[in-house]
Amino acid sequence: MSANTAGTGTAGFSIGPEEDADEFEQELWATVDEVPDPHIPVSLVDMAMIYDIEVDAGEVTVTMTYPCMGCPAYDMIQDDVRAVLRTVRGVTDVTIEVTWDPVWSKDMLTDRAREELRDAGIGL
Amino acid sequence: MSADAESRWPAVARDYVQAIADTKLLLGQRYGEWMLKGPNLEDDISGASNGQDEIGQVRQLFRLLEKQGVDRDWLETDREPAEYANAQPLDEEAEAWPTFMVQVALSDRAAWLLLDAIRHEDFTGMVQKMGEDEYFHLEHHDARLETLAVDQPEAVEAALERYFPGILAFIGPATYGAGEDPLVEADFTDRAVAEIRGAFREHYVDLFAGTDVTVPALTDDVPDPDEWDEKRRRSGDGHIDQRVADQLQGVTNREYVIE
Amino acid sequence: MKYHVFTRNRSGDDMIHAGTVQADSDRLARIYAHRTYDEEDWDFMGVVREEDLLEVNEEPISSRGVA
Repeated sequence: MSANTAGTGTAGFSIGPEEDADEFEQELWATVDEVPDPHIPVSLVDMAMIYDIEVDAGEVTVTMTYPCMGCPAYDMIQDDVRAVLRTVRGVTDVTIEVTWDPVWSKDMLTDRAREELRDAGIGL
Repeated sequence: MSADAESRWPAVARDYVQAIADTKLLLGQRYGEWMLKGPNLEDDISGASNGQDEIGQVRQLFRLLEKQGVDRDWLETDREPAEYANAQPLDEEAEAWPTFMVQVALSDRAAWLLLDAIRHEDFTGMVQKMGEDEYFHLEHHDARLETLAVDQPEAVEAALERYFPGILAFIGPATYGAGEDPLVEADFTDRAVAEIRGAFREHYVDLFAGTDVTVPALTDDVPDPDEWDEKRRRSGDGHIDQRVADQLQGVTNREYVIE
Repeated sequence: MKYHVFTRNRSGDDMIHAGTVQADSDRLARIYAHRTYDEEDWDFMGVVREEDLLEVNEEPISSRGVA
């Protein structure tokens, strides 16, 4: 592969709010954590599809990725994220940035997601 | 996203990505047309997956083009057939299976080589992800062409002769060597067109080695550098049918769209 | 040619017979198997040509054959 290969491995990759996230940011993460992946019974956060949530005076930017580039639910998922965040008091606008850096991998799944997928009979 | 990532690409880079995106858009269309017509169910399943992958990739390339100031409506629904910059072989619907396999194999591989040459940071991770899809497309094509080269060598060779000039035009003119390729000069790509042409042909020479299929030679005047349209990466003013443009733009289904 | 597709979820699991594919070559069979049966993140997926699958028969041994 050429220069456009993203960093290998997921060392240092963490899901969820940073340790110094304030209460509002924590609330935004918890809110997005309510959005289920339409294909399997885990949330977008547990699926490690949400890379970052930033707030600037009520304007929220969600940086996210997809396990599959041709995802048929691509727009639906973004609509769900926008819809759920707009209900949070203090949010004035929601922007979604799609990124492929780093490329999603199943190694990023949270332990909770692994457990729920196993319970649902989906192999990892 | 950093300010750097939002920086403008040079115009030649925008045209280059547009041509790759439109080629993938037409690949999606052609895979779709053949989805129920392959020689067996397994080819149809693979083709349907390939088509879905292409449309997913187009969505990402259009997203980047939009960030570069290209109008979204123009990209998706508001274009004349002659404004599509797809690889010329995809202008037509292939009439037979071996012809179709050669058509999509050459187009998909050429588009991948052009994508993989991009080194701009806006593509970090994205091209790697596309490569995960493309492995299966290219492997399917090559495995199929191997069997077709044995079963129907004349049909494969005829299709290669028919589509090679258009594919070479899509890759670019032979005059774009290491020091003369404007995209390499702009640091947008790291592999000159002349080198990609060589690697592309070499791949098929190796694939068809030991069969009755001869791969057309590389000639420096195909495409004629003076006639070559940099924007549409082809020679001449051919284009897809209006009917195909209508399908790509969802004209007949527009009344069902929920805004 | 007909190929049988075998998979398993995790190393050490029993192999599952996922299904079959029709293919003109081993290389095609691998691609078709992946494209058709890749609904899970398999630890292993393999294809076997049907003609290479040998039936194990249980036939009575002739009493005269036993010394």
